[in-house]
Amino acid sequence: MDIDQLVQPDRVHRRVYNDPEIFEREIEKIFSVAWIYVGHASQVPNPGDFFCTNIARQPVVMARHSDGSIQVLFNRCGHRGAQVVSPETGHTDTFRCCYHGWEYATDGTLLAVPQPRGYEESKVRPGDPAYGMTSLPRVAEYRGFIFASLSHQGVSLQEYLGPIASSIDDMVDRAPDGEIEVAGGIARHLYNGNWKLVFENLCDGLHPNCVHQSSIEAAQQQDDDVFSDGAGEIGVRQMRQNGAPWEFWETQVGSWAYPFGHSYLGDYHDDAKLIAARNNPSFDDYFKAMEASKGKDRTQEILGVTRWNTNIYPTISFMSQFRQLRVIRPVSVDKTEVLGFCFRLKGAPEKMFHDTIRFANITNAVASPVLTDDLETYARIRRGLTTDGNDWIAMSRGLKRDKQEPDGGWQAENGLSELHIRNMFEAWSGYMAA
Amino acid sequence: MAEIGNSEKRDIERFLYNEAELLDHRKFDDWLKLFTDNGWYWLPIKADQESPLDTVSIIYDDRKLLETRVRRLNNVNIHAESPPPRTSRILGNIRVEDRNPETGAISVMSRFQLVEFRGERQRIFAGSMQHSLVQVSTGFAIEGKRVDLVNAEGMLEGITTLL
Repeated sequence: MDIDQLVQPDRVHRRVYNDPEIFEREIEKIFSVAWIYVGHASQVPNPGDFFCTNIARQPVVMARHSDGSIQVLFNRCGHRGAQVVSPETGHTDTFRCCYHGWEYATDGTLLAVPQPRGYEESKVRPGDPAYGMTSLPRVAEYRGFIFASLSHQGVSLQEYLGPIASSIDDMVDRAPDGEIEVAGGIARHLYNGNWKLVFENLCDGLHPNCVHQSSIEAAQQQDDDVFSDGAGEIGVRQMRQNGAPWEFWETQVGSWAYPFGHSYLGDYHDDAKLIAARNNPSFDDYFKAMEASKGKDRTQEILGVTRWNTNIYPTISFMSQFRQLRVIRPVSVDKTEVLGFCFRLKGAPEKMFHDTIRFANITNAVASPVLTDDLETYARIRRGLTTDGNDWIAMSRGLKRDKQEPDGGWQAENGLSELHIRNMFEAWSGYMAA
Repeated sequence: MAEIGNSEKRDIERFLYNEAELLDHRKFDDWLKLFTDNGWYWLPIKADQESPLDTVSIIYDDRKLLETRVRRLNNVNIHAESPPPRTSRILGNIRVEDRNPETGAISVMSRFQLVEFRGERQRIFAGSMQHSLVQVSTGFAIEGKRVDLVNAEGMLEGITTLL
C-alpha cells in the first residue's frame, strides 16, 4: 500500500500508528525536515550554559556561546564519534570529549587535541569544521523559542509558524516584564503508544468526560472545607473542569487549525473561571504589574486571549493560562517520551509561579490522577490496533463543518471536532509523500 | 523533651509496617486515616529537592488533594487501575532520627523496595522514605511523608500505586 492511500479525508489506516517502517519514514521525512523545538533561550542564559536533548532521536546540545549567540550542535565528537556532552544541563568553558580529550568551544569549533604531533601528516587541525562538533543545518528563534531543522532546505521558521505564532505571543505577552523563563524542573514520562496520540488527545474535547471519569467524580465529591495549602485548590478545580458537560464543549469551546499541522483549542478556560483568578490576591498584584507595564487597554487585550492547548506540529504542545509546555519525543513506533516544562512570567508575583507548579503536578506528573488515565488509553490503542478486525481509524467528528478563516486557518464547528487530527494528517501526508 | 525510648521505637516500626500492609492490601481509606487533618504526601522529582512549591513533583498532595487521589483509587472507572496492580513492599533500615523540639514531631527515615505487577508488566520501585509522625490519642499520625524514588529523575511510565 502506498503512503497516499493510508490517509483519507475521514479516516487513517492503522499502519500509521503501528508500522515500524512507517515510523522510520516519519523520522526521515518529518522529524529530519520540519522545524523541531529544541528549547527556550532562558535555559541557557549565560555563555557556557548548555542543555542536551534530541532531534529525530539524534543527541544534540543547545549552548550559549561566548558571543551571546545560541548554538545547536550535534552532540558527537569529531574524532571517534563519542557523545561529547553527557549531563542534560550544565555550565562549562569548553566541551571536552571523555574518550581522547578533544576540546571544543561552545560553538563546536575544535580548540585543541592532545598530542597534536601525531596528526601532522593528517588533515586534523584545530579550527577545521570537518573535525568540530557540527552545527545543525538551520537554527532559528521566535521570541525565545529555539527551533532547529536537520534539513538545509525548507520554509523559514516564520512561515512555518504562520498564525500559530500568536500562541507564543500569548505566552510571552503575559509577562509584566515582557520575558518568560523556564523554571521548576522537568516532569517526564514515557508512554507505550505512538507519538501522534498525545497531540490528538491534547485538543480532543470529547475524551475528558470518559477518560477522566474517575478523577472528575473524585473531585466533584471532594469536600471543599478540607485543609489545602493551594495544591488541592488547583488540582481539584482542574479535575472538576474536565467534567464540564459536552454541551459546554459544543457551545463555548472552539478549535482552530493551521497549515503545517498546527492547531489550538480556545475559549475553554477563561481567566474568570480560572483558579480564583481575579478573586485571588496574587492575581490583583499581577493585574497591577501588567497595567503598570503595558497600560489598561493592552492588559485587557492580552488577558482576553483564552487559548488552551496549542500544538506546534510535530514537537510541542503548550498553554499560556498555566504556563506549561510539553515536548514530545518519538522513541519508536510505540514508545514516546514527553517532557513537561514550566515557565515563570518575569515581573509576576511568585505565587502565580507556585500555581504553575501545582498545575504541572496535576497535568504533567507521571503519577497525576489525570494523566495516568490518558497513558492507559494510549496503551489500549496500541493493543487494539494490533487486531485485524478493522484497518481504519475514524477522524470524522465535525467533518465538512469547518470554516475557512481569513488568515488561512480553519475554525472547527466546535470544541468536540476532530479537525485538529484531520489537519495534522494533511500535513503528515505532505511530508511523507515528499 | 523526652528521649525516644526503645519501646517507642518499636511502636513506630509497627506503625510503619502496618502502613505498608494497608497499602499492599489496597485499604486506601484506612491508609488516609493515618494522616493528620493537614497532612501532606510528597514524591519529589529530584533527590535534593528542597521545596514542593517552586519545583514540580511526581506527587505533591495536601490533605485535600490526597483525599481526592484516594477517592479516585476507589472509583470503579479508574482505567489506569483496570486491572488493578498488585504490590508487595519490604521496608527496612528504619531509623528513628529525632524529635522536633518545637512541634514534637518525630522524624523517621527508612528504605523500601516494592514489586508491582499489573496486566502484562512487573516493575520495581525502590528508594527512601521520611515520615514525620506526631503523637495522637490512638498512637501516631502522619503529618508528612516524603518518598524519594532512586529513579525519580528518570523517564518513568504512569504510576498509580501509592508508595
